[in-house]
Amino acid sequence: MHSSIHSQPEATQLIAVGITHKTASLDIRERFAFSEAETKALLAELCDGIASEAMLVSTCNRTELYAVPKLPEVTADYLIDFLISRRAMTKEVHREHFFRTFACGAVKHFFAVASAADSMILGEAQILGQVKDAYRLAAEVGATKTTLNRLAHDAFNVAKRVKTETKFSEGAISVSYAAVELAKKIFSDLSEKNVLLIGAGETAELAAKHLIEKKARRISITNRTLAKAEALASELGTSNVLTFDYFKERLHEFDIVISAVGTIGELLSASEIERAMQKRKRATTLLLDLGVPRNIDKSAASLYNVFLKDIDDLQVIVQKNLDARRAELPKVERIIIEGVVEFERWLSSLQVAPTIRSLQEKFNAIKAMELARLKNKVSDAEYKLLEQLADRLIGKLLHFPIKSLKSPAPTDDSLEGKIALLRDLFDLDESAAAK
Amino acid sequence: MDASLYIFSIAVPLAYLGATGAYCADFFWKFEWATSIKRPALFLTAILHLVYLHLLIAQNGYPPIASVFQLMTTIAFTLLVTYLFIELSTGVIETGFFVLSVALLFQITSSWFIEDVGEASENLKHPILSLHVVSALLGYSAIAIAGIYSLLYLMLLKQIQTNRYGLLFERLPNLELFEKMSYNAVLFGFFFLTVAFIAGAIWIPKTTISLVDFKLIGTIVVWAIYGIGLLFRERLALQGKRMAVMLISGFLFAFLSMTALNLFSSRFHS
Repeated sequence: MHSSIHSQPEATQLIAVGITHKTASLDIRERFAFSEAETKALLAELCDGIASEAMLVSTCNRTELYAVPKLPEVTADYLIDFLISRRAMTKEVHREHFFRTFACGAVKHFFAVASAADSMILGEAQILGQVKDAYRLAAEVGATKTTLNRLAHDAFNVAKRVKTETKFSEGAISVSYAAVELAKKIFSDLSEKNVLLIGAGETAELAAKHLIEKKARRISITNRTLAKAEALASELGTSNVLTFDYFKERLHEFDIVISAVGTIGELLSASEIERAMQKRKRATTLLLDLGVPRNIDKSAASLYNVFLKDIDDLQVIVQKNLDARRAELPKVERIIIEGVVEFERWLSSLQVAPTIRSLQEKFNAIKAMELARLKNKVSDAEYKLLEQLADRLIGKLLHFPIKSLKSPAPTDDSLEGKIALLRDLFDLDESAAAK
Repeated sequence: MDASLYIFSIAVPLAYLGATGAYCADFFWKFEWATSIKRPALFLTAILHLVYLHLLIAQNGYPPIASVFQLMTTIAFTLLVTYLFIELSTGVIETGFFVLSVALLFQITSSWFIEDVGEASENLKHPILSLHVVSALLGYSAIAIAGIYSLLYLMLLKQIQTNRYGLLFERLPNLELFEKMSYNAVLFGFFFLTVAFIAGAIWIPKTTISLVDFKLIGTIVVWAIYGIGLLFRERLALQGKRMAVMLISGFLFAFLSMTALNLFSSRFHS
């Protein structure tokens, strides 16, 4: 038997280990994050010794190592211990904090990560970029070869399909983006609307950036600390800054008011808003109160043509969108499974390729030998005919064995069995298979 | 009724049904097939309906305005054409199901009950009367569309105000666009109703129509309300919800004064 040379190629021994938001707390995850330089150093060390290919995905929610081991003693636990030792966290972090998955499971997991199906916030947009960065880093240090190159590109394709064929990435999933989504449902062209930003903190900045993405241009900013308002204004590319004690007098000029001032409490009373509404002849006004505690008197919601929404209201939009994304998971799962099947088919073709090549070489050698014996006994025209006949015979004789080899095998064992049987039956050269 | 007219009287409501179904499937379920066939289905319906109207004119020798059910098929056609114009000019495709449902209702009623009215008055062939009727129909169609858009506005507004963000929130265009489209439709409708009034005023002395005809008074009331609304829009703060409520009320009143009462009368005006 040829079992010694029929062991599976390295590709099927793909191992994935890591910590994610599902397996470890933020405290552990943040200490396990790897910078670009650390990632490169770790991959180089792995590929110098124990792995033929490796890739590390490190984000705030996960640190995952994908590796094709060189040596049989390199197991998932071995890789986990390796990671823990490189972070010098042997006391705080244990093997239990890690997930481990192999072959098909590792492929499926990687596709799920790239498609944001494994993310804390389903369908989030950043993860694909982070996976691409991880692949780029691995490629830069030469840690990716046949298997991981193919794996990464298949993952990008799967993520692209998920984005285009499902609604998995649709809808706002942050309060500041939901605020903009709501504004788009009230006004048709944000570029024609006057926007007032009360506050210059992170929430206000984020909302303003989302508004700018949706073409809002006329943005004014007011803040208790004028310097902060001016700094944000310059970052957003606007020069409209109002002093904090003056903005109420100009409130009527604005179609959208976003208030995100923390700890200050109520800034705008219903009567102040009513006065502004009278001045603007009741033109539609959207008030987005993103402050905690709230900045705008909630009774203003009953004023004619005033839309007042606070964080809880916007959270309803976020929740609705998250539910919609969750409902898309079966479709995403189907695309991932199709990707895994495709990858496994490619992997199988790698496994059977040497046997197919040996088979063709063997038959061609026999053809050449038999034709050589007839070379001087027939005319050139007859020789050509015989050569064509031999080619047709070889093609037809090999058609079914090759087709059978290429067809998906239910298990790795049955594929190995098929390869071994064929090699045995046709007495194929073992060294060729090992190449 | 000749054979071709009979076939078209069945084919036209079926075409409306198909087009409305495609717009419905696209709006509620986003089926790919519905998205791709809905506009061709709308064009096909318009062409079939045009042929049907042509056959009616050829058979009767006058436009299909002699009975309520003839008027209904004409209204369905003007609704469809007006909607097609809106869809092509604004690119808003999400409201088709709602407008076409009303047109479908008119067309099915018309096809079901339409019958020969025999030899109609020579008056129906007069160009002033044709102008009066065509203008009135265009005006009422525009008012109907403004009413439908206002109803959609109110439904979307309700979802936003109550934080119940459902399918309408997801699929319909924004409130401001509805407000603009309704306003433009009313302007368009008011213009044609005014033309209808002028043509009617020229025509009345040549007829025996009573000046206390309820439909005439009703239409004058509708016209006056829309006129006052448009003229004093800013002063009355007729925008948002108030405008939507007014346009829906106007549409219902116009619809009742023009169609429902005619079901009990053999003539359009008494």
